[in-house]
Amino acid sequence: MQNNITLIRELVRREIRSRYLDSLSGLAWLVIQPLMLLLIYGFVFVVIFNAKVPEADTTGFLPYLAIAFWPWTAFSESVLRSITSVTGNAGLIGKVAISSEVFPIATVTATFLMHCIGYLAILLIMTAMGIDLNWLGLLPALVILILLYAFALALALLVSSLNVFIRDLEHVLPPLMTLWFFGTPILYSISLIPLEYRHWMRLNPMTGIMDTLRGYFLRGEYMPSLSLILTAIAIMLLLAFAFWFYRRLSPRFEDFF
Amino acid sequence: MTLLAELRSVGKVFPHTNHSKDRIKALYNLLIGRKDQSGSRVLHDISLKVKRGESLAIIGANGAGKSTLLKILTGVLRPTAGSVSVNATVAALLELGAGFQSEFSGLENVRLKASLLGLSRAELAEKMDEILAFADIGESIHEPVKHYSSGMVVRLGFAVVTAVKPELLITDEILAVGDESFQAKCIRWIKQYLKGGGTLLMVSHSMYQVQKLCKHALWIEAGEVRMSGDVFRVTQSYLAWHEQKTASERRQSQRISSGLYRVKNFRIETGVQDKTEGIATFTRGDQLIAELDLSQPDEQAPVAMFGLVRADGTPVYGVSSDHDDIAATPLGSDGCRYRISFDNLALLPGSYSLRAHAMDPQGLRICDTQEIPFIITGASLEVGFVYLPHRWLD
Repeated sequence: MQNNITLIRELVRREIRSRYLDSLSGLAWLVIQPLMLLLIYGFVFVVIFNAKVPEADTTGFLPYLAIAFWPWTAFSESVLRSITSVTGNAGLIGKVAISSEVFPIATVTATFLMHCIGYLAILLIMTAMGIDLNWLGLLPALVILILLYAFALALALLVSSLNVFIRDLEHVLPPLMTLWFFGTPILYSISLIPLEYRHWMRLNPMTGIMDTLRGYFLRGEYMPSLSLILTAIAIMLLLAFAFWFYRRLSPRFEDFF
Repeated sequence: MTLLAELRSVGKVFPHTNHSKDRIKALYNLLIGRKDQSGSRVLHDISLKVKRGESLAIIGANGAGKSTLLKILTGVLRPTAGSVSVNATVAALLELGAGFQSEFSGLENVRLKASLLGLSRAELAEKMDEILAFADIGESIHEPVKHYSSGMVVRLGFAVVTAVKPELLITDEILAVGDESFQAKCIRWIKQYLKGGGTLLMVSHSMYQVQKLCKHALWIEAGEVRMSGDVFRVTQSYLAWHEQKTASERRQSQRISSGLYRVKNFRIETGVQDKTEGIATFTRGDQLIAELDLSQPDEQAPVAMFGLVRADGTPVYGVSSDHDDIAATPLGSDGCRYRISFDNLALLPGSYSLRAHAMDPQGLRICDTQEIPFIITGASLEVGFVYLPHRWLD
């Protein structure tokens, strides 16, 4: 156990170094890349489509988008990156006796850590731009981010182990993630959805999570809803299942590389 | 002595993985917990005990299952039958650059490898100088490993292990890559490590290294234990088996043409008959007497030639009756007999053959050949196949 923690720390350090610190402008990319995406979406939706979100009348569309956009990026990127976290380390797993689950764990952890820094940076930038954010919401938001991390980790364990047996996952999952992105109220608000479809949207756990985050930062609402609590329980159950699933498969990974 | 590792009738079957149908079926079987034994069998019913202070070599031909066995011991592979228990800190050097990431610098890889082997940050910082000194690759340590030569990779991998000082060290054919001086350094280190109570398990094709470093050997053939025990006994049988294999391959291609003069009877008179295979065995210094009867259709007696070869066919010594001006003893109306004695046999332990050739009376053409294998037993670290008398001077 102690070994695994040292190892995860080393892997996280390595991953962060290789992905961010070794590139030309280093850390800056962490903020620049999502910021550019955010500006593109902002331009398309605010300037071209003239999109209006009823809940965001006071603060404008961009903060409304940014608050959900970063956590989503952290979530989706860590799941997508983790697909190959086991197969990509086959050389290591095949030669050193380690519990291979450290790889998806390290990938998800590194991705979340870096995007959390980016998130913090963008919140500071928005405050500096004069947008009124509820900074008190940061603390409960941290809890939500941890929940999101657990969700990402559960999916990461599932997809990284499945990918050993079914390699097509690498190709199937990215478009599914895009679908999920558009199926979650990130670019829009759930109040824009026709009433008869809204309860379908509620089935998506991300809907509640994104809404809660906006509640913290934009509206100062801190009471957790019942659906959020149910979502949290479901995610914990999923995580437990994911660990069971992973450990069931991992002893045989080496045979299928 | 404490038991560091034990294998109990371990077997390993690699599943078929080429078709996605096989893979999905295997996935399903794993999830519902059903054992699936179809596939190709690599190891079968292997039991092994590794005690503290043991030094064991695993030898065998390519594809015999040596590396799979090591992988099972290190926990990288799970056996499909039997059980494995290991209670020791294990460091394994399996194949080249085990666990190195080619994009990262040597230093980065040392850190990663050390944490894989369970070294904490503080311990690593303490030992870093020692590691770098052992690897001795200079400034290249800051270069990415992909630019390393294979020797440098091995140096680095071994250097990390020396810092960890595991209870059980497992190496798979890694010393073959380093240069002479590094090999010597590694062997020195391993000897020191063994003397200090370390335990070694190694795979090697160099019987010299094996004999030098290990007390015991385990010979596996086609996934099963063929022989185990004292290193000299096992390695000699293994080499003999190898030599005979290559010799029989060679013999098939050159069946000697017969002529007028034939070998009627050829036997080795002395030596102890080996129980299992009925081969004459000798130890160094014994006397080897052979008797050869040749056919003789006319008045002129054929020339006899004796050749001593190693089991793979490498000539050691040859002599013919006309070199030594020896006349045959007549035998009946159409035969003759030669007898030869090699006194004080100076051959080193191993497998050999005595060949007898019937040659024409002029000693120009070989007409017939017969060959009898024999074995020289004994424990010796000397190299080559003949003992040369020598003495050490002041």
